[in-house]
Amino acid sequence: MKKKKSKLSLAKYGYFFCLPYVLCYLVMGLFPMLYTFWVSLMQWNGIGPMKFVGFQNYITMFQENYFFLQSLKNTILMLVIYVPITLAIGLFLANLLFQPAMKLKGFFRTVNLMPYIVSSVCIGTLFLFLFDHPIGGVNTILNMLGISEKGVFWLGDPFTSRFVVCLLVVWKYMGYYMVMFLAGLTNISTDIIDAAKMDGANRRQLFFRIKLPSIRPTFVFLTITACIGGFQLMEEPMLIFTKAIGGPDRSVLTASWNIYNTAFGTKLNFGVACAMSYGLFIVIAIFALIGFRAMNRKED
Amino acid sequence: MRKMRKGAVVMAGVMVLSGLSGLAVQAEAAVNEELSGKVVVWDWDVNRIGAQVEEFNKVYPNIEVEIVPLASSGEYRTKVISAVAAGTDLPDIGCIEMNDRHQLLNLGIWDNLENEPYNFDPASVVEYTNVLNTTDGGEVVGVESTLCPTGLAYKKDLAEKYLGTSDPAELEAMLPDWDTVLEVGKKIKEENPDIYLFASADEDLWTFFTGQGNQCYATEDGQLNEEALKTPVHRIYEFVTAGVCDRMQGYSTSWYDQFSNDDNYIFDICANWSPQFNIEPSDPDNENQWGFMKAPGGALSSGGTSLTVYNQSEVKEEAWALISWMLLQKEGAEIYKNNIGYYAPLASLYEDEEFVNWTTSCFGDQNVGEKMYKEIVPEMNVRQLSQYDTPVGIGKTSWMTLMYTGIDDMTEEECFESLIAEINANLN
Repeated sequence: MKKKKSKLSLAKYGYFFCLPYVLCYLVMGLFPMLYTFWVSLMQWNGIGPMKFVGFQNYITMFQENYFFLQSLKNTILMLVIYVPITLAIGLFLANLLFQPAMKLKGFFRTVNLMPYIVSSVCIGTLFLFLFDHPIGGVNTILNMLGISEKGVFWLGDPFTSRFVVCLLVVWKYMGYYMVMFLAGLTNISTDIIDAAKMDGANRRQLFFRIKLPSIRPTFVFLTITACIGGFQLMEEPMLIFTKAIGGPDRSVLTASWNIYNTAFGTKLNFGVACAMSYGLFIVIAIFALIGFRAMNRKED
Repeated sequence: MRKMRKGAVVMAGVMVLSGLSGLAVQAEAAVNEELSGKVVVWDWDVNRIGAQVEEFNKVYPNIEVEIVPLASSGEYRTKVISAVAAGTDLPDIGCIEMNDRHQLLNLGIWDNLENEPYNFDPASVVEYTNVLNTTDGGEVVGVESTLCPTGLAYKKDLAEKYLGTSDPAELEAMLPDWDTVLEVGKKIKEENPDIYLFASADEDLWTFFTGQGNQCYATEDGQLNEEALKTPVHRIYEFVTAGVCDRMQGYSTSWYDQFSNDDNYIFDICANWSPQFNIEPSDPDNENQWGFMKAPGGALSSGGTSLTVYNQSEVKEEAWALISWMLLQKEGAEIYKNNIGYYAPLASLYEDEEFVNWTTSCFGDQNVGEKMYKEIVPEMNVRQLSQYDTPVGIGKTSWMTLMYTGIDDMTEEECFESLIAEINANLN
């Protein structure tokens, strides 16, 4: 009886210590999710009374002037381009800094991490300066080299606009991936590397046969988080295309930006914006599931 | 005799003291200590109200004014809509920028200023400003924070070189309408391929052609008034394809740069706020380098912000005391003008020659105030607000981006259709 009582009082402490997190989750996580779903069933401009419309908003969001599919396509297209490139560059830099012969490691680590810690507003402004037409830094260089006299309208063409956004994201996040990969590489036992070297493994073999398989969980985790983050991409293109929503021909209108614009832009349609949020949530969930299954396969 | 002298001194002392005390009573009367409280304002232009607070507090010592600085009018709009949607409180004074005017004024969250306790008389302000501050329901909910007369600024040396004069009167006579401007621009272009009259179609030309047209963007039956957009598209098509206007995006790096480092662009659009925000910060050696003239085709207004009172505010009278002191009373309006160069809408102010006078560094000793407030303001008409203002404004920006790269392969008809498509994309 006494034992049972002490177990109960112990459990009380457990619940007590969990309470802050549970309360925060209920208020900041669960409630917004449920409220978003509730609003997605309403016709509401954020100001007047709500009107229940059932699942109508889930049909409306596929109408042409809501750009849900186009924004999703843009997001996936850019994600497919910049996620592998960012991961590859991050891994390359991490491997370079992992070399024992490498000097000034701390300096290069800081330099590469810098874009990640700089405010997005600064990066947006920097890229605006660089890719301005006709006097931006890139056009000035092209002009000096005699490649383009009048300069390229980087931010006026759909193809080059996507290129600029991808470049910005790669540049900003490669340092973060480098640090994460570096942490993964540091965890590899030096015994394994030394043994492989003793067995005559060259640098390529060492990388592909020892290091890469050893950091596979890090790799999969970063790929999944990069994809999830990629689906939420909004700030970076918004900072470059401050006036034209979605850039030229809405070529860089991402799914999150589209949701934001549907709610707070000219449409003021909170119902459809919330329906789109759930649409995007399903897409992200599918990608995350695939990723986690891939990660778990190794553990099995 | 000695006694008399003493008596005279005492009398004089009494008179001086009574005179001084009379002055003190007068000064005290001007001070209002009854109104008290804290008035909160969100504003992206922090000087608009912020720079007047010190002087305002000399008259209303118990009213505290807190300015919450925001990055832009866009951020302000988002914050207001978020607060309304979430049901949280808004600041006591609203600042509504021209691009968001119809949408934000009609949210039903601002007090009708013609009612108690405001008793604002719309007839007391310059007439056109009431059009910009009236809701669809006919309530006057805002007061214009500054008149925005707009004309053309030009680089004097370039005007002298390519147009033969930098005298504003001669230039106005030389360029009375846009057809003449186009012809003159083409001639200059033939001889000097690198010279443009204007840098940006989306900032300069669009503002002129839609601003002078004054046609409401909504038809009487609530549809998009496409007719109102035909002339602007026609004109822009002509000017851009002829190379008289370049393809710079307004407010881009190049656009700011052309104020100082570029000898290829002669004219820029210029409202009364342009020297402070655009020309002088971008052109450090601006002193007396620029001239100002009326725009060909007539007077127009560009930009502007309206001040409103939140209908749930607990300090309505205090908020109104600040607005009316700045914008509807001579004393405050003069301080306001002298501090930041904004001109309050109180109509009687413009009968005073001294008040109207205004010079600024880039225009040297040219009395641009006289030109703006004596010549342009009386002729100004503005477009009635409509639900299409924001979709047209945003649609136009996306359209211009496409136009700059594709206009050479498009007909005027195709340009017009693409603008309408962009506007429709921003409608529900």
